[in-house]
Amino acid sequence: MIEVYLYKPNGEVLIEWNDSFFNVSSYEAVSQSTGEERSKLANIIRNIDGSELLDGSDIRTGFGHLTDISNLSTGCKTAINVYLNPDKLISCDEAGNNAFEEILNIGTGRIQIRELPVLWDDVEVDILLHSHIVGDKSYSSYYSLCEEAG
Amino acid sequence: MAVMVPGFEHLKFKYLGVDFDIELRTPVVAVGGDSGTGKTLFFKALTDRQRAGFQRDVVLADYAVLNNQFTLLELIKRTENKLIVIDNADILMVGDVDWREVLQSDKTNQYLLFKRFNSSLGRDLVSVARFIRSGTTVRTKYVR
Repeated sequence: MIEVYLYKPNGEVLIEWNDSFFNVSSYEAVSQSTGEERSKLANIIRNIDGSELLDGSDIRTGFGHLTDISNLSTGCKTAINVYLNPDKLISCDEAGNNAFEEILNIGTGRIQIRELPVLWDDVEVDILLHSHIVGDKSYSSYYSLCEEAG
Repeated sequence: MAVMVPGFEHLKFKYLGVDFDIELRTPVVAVGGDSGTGKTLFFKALTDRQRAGFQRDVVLADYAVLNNQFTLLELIKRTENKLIVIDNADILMVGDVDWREVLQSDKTNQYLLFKRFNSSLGRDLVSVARFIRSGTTVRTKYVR
């Protein structure tokens, strides 16, 4: 289950600068990953950025450039940060809709986002939504989760 | 409010093998949409083009350059007659500053914001677009 916060909880450390956190923390983990974990990371990178994870930290981007994972999109870095750090609260404000959907598919972790984006694909999610939403709203079945939030 | 700066209605160039065809229809354009569509690459392209002398009158701001919203405000206040491009705008344009007021009271600059959340700026002020990547071409598609 993934926890989704629509506000910043008091007393919690929120990872907001995903680019920086990736560069100083996740970069090494991705570079040295192997086996099933590397395969999962490769899928995340392919699904969000359309890039192919090669050896170590090397990638071939969707534009055909050979570069390294420091040049992944911020949204892709955010998804990787969530995957590798399920205990940390990570801001997804800079993750595009495709990256946010991939984050939900990771299935574990703790994320914060200012507003729930509208996802056009039918995504099955297992989330615990924390929200301060008050008042009458009409949502799709996905947004109806807000009514159950504390 | 913000204005169109001559020469920035349409940015079309090739950078590292990628063809950018970016239309800026209004003085304030916010680009959001999917990750991995070339927004940061475009920002790098403008940075390099500026440094190489191929692009003038552009001011570029992201959180590598600025570390807080107040520094961004200072940058805007001392800039005139430029296209101001702000990456990571969702992080930089928050807090106690009334950014709508900042953009409305600016009479000389044009803005391109890489920003997902725009309700606080107002639909009347901001045109919203996405970058659409097709092969090695990146172009704008306007949502509103």
